[in-house]
Amino acid sequence: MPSKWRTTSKRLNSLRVLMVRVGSALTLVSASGCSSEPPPSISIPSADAQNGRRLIEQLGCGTCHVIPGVPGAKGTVGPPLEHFARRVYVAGKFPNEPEWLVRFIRDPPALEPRTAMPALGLTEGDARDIAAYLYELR
Amino acid sequence: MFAVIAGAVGLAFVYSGYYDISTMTGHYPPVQWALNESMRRSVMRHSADIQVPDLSDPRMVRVGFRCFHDNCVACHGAPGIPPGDAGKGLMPIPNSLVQPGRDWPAQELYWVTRNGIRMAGMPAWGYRFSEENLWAIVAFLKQLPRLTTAQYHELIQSVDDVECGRPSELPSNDPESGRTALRQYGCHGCHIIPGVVGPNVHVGPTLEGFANRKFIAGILPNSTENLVRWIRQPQSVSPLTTMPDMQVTEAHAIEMAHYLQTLK
Repeated sequence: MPSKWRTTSKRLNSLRVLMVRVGSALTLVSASGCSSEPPPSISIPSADAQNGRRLIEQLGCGTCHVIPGVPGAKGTVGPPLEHFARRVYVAGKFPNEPEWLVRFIRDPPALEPRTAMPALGLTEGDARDIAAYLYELR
Repeated sequence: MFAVIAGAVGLAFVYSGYYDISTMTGHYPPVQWALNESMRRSVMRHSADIQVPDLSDPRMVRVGFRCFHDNCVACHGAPGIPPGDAGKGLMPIPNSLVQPGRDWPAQELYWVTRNGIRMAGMPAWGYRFSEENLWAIVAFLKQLPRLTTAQYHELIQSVDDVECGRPSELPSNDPESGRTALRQYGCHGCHIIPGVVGPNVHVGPTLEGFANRKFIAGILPNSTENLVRWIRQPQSVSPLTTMPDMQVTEAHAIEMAHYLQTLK
């Protein structure tokens, strides 16, 4: 009787392992974008996302942030900006909409005095281009 | 071969959206039977080795009543008291606890109260109440079927001085405990957390690689002490933050912090 139990519990255990593997595979599938949730598409009129990407590279945003598509952007001071378009909030505080994002990029301490992120003296147009690039990160 | 076909049918079922998840229509009787039977058997099996303490102390019953009346009635109702609107619309229906109170062994009532029931709306209370109070609830549940409506109302009047305390245990050294704490405070409802399976939402930032992050919330340097402070009182660190105070106990916050700092 006990040995029969052991076999059963061994089988159950391998079933468990199998289920965990299938589960992880499905998680990978959903993380790779095959999930039913479409990433939001946010566009900023007359902004140039490619110029935004160049600015991000020149300004060195990657010193503090991980930013897909920007060479060497692997900083761990601020949060990673992967999937930025999916983010509901900017800095965990402001609705992730173009107006808030552009304001935050131009002058973070003006919105959150305690933030470690500095103001870089950007023009409105440059900040809009950067925001447009971040919204391409879906 | 069979496994491949079964898998394909399963995936087709998932992706077709065919299954009606609405609670307006009920389960078919065989589905209801299978769910209920799985639940009962699972509870019996998992609670089999639990030692039941003495439940006869009237003070314990009074504390259990306080916990029950403040937390359980909203979904389960009580003698002469209806459940709230949220409880009425759940499926499976959170049934009156009078019958399980009478018919289920104490260790099973304890196990369900502490651990909750997956996919059934029954939350785990193990992170809300101390171990002592979980047993106090069980002690009360065993008395509940014997109460008339009038006696239940008398109890409401008589427990004004009784409190239902939060868990007071010290932090555990088990690395798994941090993951459980993150799950039990619903952190994965807003954050992606490696090792905690969740809905994959981007409300708060992802916590992948958290150990390498230099700042918490862009404000505090990332240390265990600061992280515990942030988890417990985010709004005192950043008044503008959308992250709420989740009433995390210090012990649980320490467990969470230790786990998050293993995420390279």
